[in-house]
Amino acid sequence: MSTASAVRREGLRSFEKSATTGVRPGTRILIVDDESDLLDMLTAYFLSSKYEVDTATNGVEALAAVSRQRPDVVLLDIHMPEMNGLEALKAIMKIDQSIAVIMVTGNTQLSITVDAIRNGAFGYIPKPFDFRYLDHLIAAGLSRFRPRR
Amino acid sequence: MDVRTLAALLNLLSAARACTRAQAGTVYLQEADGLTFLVTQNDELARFIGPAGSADLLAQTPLPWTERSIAGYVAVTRTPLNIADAYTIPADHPYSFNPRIDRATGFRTASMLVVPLHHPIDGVLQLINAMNEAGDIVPFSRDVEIAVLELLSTTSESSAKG
Repeated sequence: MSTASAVRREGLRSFEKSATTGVRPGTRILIVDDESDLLDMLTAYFLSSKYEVDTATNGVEALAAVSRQRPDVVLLDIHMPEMNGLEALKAIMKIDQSIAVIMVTGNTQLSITVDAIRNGAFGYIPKPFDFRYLDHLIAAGLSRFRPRR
Repeated sequence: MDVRTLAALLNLLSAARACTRAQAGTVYLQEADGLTFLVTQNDELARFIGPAGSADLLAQTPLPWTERSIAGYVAVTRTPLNIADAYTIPADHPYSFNPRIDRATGFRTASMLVVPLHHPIDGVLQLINAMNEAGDIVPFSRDVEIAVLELLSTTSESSAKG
């Protein structure tokens, strides 16, 4: 193997690690969606990948879950009743800006995307999912550096 | 600009910052008059004024082509720049660091990695202040520079496949 290719492999290690060798034990993901079928499917998917999974069906429940036990990553649907994803994102950022919040949505307006970015979303993934892309985005979220001071 | 393109740029910037432990980053869009801020993140400012306040503060002023900016140089020459300390760029270089935003915000720019973007837009990805494991600001190493270029190349391939 050439040196350049070894360096490239090393450089991308943090993204590939979670997707290929399993996640660090205790890694917690919170899935927030009001569609029960999707919630069940994503829960099964992430449990099979050895994540610890919490679920919520709206923003209010999501905030309660975040306050109860800090997740490493939140998958947050935008269009939900009671408290929508954007409002929940803003509230989560007030609790802990180091949580990687990935917005999930079907069709949406550009202004909503802009607002999510402006308010600290780590990532944004449209439905239907490309699961390989989702895995890598979550791996990036998990490898995000959080200085201890 | 459509939702998918903007989403891809957010994901790219976040992944590049995670990969390099960069304190801040910006995606610029190349336009007729210069570069405009498309996506901007700064963890240090966000700690004090929140993500929205930080984004609003940073995105106020575009970079006109008439300014000898670092991002402008990268956009025009399509050449990546890896700068150890923005404040020590020699005066005879064809680009210079404008401390305007640092002065306005109290943020202190040091190391910079600035690379041209071809997909999904023509523009520039700018990363600021790489950190080591202790959280100290350090230059961007050659390894992480290559990793970012690899990440951009992967993104281009994904975009090309649709």
